[in-house]
Formats: sequence, C-alpha cells, structure tokens
Amino acid sequence: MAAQKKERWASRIGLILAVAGNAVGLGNFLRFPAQAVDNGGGAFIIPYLVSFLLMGIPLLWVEWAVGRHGGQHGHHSTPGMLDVLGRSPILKYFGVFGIFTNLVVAAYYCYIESWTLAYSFYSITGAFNGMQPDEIASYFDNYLGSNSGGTFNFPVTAIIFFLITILLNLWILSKGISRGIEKASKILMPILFVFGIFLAIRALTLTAGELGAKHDAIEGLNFLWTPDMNALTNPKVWLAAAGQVFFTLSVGMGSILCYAAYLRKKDDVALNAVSAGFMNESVEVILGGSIVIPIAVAYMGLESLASYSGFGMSFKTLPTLFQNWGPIFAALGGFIWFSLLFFAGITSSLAMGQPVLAFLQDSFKFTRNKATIAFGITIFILAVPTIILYDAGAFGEYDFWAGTFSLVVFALGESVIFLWIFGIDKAWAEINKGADIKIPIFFKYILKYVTPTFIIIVFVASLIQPAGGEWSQAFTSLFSGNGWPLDPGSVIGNVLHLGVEDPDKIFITNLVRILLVIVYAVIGTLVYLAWKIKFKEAK
Amino acid sequence: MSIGALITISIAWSLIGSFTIYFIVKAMRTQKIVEDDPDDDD
Repeated sequence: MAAQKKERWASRIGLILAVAGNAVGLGNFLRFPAQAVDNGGGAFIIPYLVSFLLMGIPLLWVEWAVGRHGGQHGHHSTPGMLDVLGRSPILKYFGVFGIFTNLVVAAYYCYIESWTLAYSFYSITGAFNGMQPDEIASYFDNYLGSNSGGTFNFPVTAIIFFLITILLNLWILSKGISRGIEKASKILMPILFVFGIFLAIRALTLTAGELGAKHDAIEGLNFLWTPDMNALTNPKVWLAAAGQVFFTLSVGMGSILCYAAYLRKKDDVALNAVSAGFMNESVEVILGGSIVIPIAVAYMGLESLASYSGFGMSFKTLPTLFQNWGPIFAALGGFIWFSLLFFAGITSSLAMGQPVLAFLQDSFKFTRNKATIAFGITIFILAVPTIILYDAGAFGEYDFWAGTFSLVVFALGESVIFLWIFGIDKAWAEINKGADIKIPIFFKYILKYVTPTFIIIVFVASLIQPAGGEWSQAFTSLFSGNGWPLDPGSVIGNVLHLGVEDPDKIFITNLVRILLVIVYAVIGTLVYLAWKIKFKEAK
Repeated sequence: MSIGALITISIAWSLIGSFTIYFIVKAMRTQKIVEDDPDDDD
C-alpha cells in the first residue's frame, strides 16, 4: 500500500520546526500559565520537568519511531502503522484513533484559530479603539453569537473567518509536505518566536505608572515562579503537571507519527524528537509564562489571577489592557498577540490535516488535491455543531472526548503495542536506528515500565478525578463511608452529566456523543474497506 | 522578585533553554536528512 507519490521532508530544520509547530499551540500561551498558577507556582516546574523526562520524551521517541517504521512499510497514518507492529487485525482499528482525533480536533481547533485571525484583523484596524472594557468583553460574546439568548448560535462573521481559516489550511496542505507544511513552518515559527520575544520583553518591562500600569509586571512573574513546596506533596499538582506535558507535546494525536513517516529509514529520530520537544518547552516555559500573566498583573493586580481563564483573559481582557498603550501601540500589540496565537494554531492544525490526507492517499489512491478538499468539507461539516451549539456545550464535548480523552487512550495503546507487543528490544533498536545521539540505556527500562505506568496513572486519574482534584479529601471521604466525590470534569462524571441540570444541554451533549461514535465507526469502516482493497490487489 | 522565584526561574529557564540550544545545534551539525539515500526502499 505505497503512497502514490514519494513525499519527503526537504531539510532537518524544516522537519523539527514543523513538529515543534505542531506542538506549540494556544495551550503554550494560555493553558500553561493557568496550570502553573493553580498548582504551586514555581514548584509546579518540578513535577512538570519530571513528567517531561519520564513520560514526554519517551512518548516522543515512541511516536517518532513508530512513524518512521510505518513509513518504511508504506503507511503514513496510524491504522497501517499499528497494523505492521503486531499480528492482530484489531490493531489497525485501534489506529483509527489517530485519524478520528485529528479530524474532530481540527474541526473545532480551526474554529478557535479563526477567532485569533479575526481578532488580529480587528486589532490592526483599530476596531477596539475607544471601547469600554465591558464593550470589549461583550464583543467576544457577540462574535460567537452568544448573546442571542437561545440554544443556538448564529455567528455570521465568525463563520466567514472560519471559512477563511479553513481555506488557508487547505491551501498550505495542498502544496504537500516540503512545499506546503515545511515551508509554512519555516516562515511562521521564526515569526512566532520574534513576536513572542517582543511581547515578553514589553510585558516584563512594564512598571507601575507607565502606560497606565498599576503594578510592576515583574510581580506577575514573581507570583508565577515563587515555589510553594507544600504543593509537591499534593497528587493534584503532579497530575496537572503530567497532563500539561502530555497535551503540550501533542502526543497521542497521531500527527507526530504521520510527520515521522516521511523520513528515510536511516534518518535519526532520537535527536529530532528531543530537539522538537525541547523547542516546545522553551516556548511554553520561557515565553508562555512571560506574556499574559505579567500584563494582567501590571494592570489588574494579583487578585485578577484568582479567576484566571486563558480564553477569557486572551479575548476579553487583553484587548482592553492594550488600549492603555495608545491607539497605535494598542493596534500593534493586539495584532502581534493574536497573530502569535494564529501562527501557533495554524502550525498545529496543519499537522492535524496531514494524517487524514495521508490515509486517503495511501488507502484510496486520492490525489493530494482531492484528499485536501475531502478533509476541508469534512471538518467544516463536523465544525457546524460546535459553532451553532457552542453555548449548549457541543464545543466542550468535542474537546473533552476527542481533544483530551482520546489522546490518553491512544498514547497508552500505542505505547503498549510498540513497547510490549512489538517488543522492547525491537522498539529500542528502532528508536536507536540512525540515531545522532546516544540515548542512555536506562531509558530502555523507563520506556518499558515507567512511561506506560505514568500514562496509566494519568488515565485512571482522569476517569475518577475527585471533586476539585482533592485526592486526600476524596480518600478520607471514601474510607469514612461517604463515597468517592467525583468531579464533574472527570470522565465518569462527564458520562453521568454530573452537575448538569439543564435537560436541553444533556440532550445535546448526548447527541454530540452519538455523532462522535458515528465518526469513529465511519473511519473504522473506511479502514476495513481499505484493507479489503489491499488484499484484493495483493491477490 | 523573591529569592525563591529568582532561583526557580534561573534553573528552569537555563536548563530548558540550554538543552534546547544544545539539541538544535547538534541536529544542525549532523544534518543528513537532505542526502539522498540509494538504499531507501519506500
């Protein structure tokens, strides 16, 4: 089942920037600071780095090695990649996760991406000039069609920007691996770094009394990085750190495997994986923590962090704060901030498109253009519920099941399949083949025992996460006979609609779940047909 | 800025920053992806 046309990465830096671009997303700038603030400030970095070393880097090696191995067998998407790792026919159906996740996440992720495109446009055209803070905050609600008062949202402008965003993605994807994704990453990632550094310097040098600031911005950095060592004994902090490492690296998506499938068989994966991983960490830890929080603290004080929300702060509050910089610098600051988020977003959504295109090209001999159009139409259709039922919770359901739960399930499965079924000795040899760095031998044991255990802990914790993430209180409650207090955000709590009383919302979220199951089943059927065609051709 | 924050930020930034630079420079110095591999059988 070879690809119609042999596509390759043209340069190593292009590949590393593309994979780093896949990982660097909105979460680096919005989710990381929120997690750090909620989980012990500076102490958060200790479990974060431990998780990166014991789970993040090993998972990156697994995904790069599985991807390159699959590519050598003519498979550029996960069903085929997993199929060649063992004898069970079930493996390829488990690999459906690697297409399902990308397809569903791309649908709502491109929608978020389009908000940043719209807001960079509004910023540079001075749309927020002269507006009061509450006007800017409600501007975002109006943009999403949230003020209509009913169950449905009809955001015409948002849909127009969404279509523009999809077309931009499709245009780049249609150009191919080296002339499309790689070229875009080589242009967008350096701009992202420059914009990030510019905003971080501007943020950190804000002092009380300057440009309307009430406090020194450095107080925000101080708050973020002052360690609360008591937090280290709290399981909630460790789970939050492991979760953040997991999601920031974009592992469990299937997109890293797809990118690695376009390597040659003797190309390195060991060094490429750590290079891209550390590049993502630099953006997250150094730049991600140095923009939003210091600016928020400079203008609104430390108390503003009590109700910190990444999206709310980004779209509702920051445009207001930028107004203090005067009309020209407000426009420029807003444009740079939202463009930075847009570039972070588009380099990630391109990585979500490629596995779907590769599956259609490999399995059904689609031309790249035909596969691109099919991808575009599918994600638009899938995005419709998240747009018109945004307030009703469709967006959240997509994010929970496809963008969170599926990642953990797939990462656990691919680790077990590669490290235990394919076998640790062959897996270790595969990771080290053509390696430009010598990986210490103890990582072989970390890969086999520690990494899967880490993911199992994250998985089980996500299933039964106690209310407020308070594990010690939950165990006390359990042992005193009062039961386990489930958090509504846990997987089981979510399934049971804990904390949701609106019957309309329950009905709609159930419909969305059925839709997601149907999407998985349709992709599974396509995989079945693809293998049927393959066996027919082989006869 | 507190001493604790200063120490944490110094360690975290220098650790992550220096590893990033080290790995990227090493990757650039051992660039071989552009070479055509005649043994490539895909």
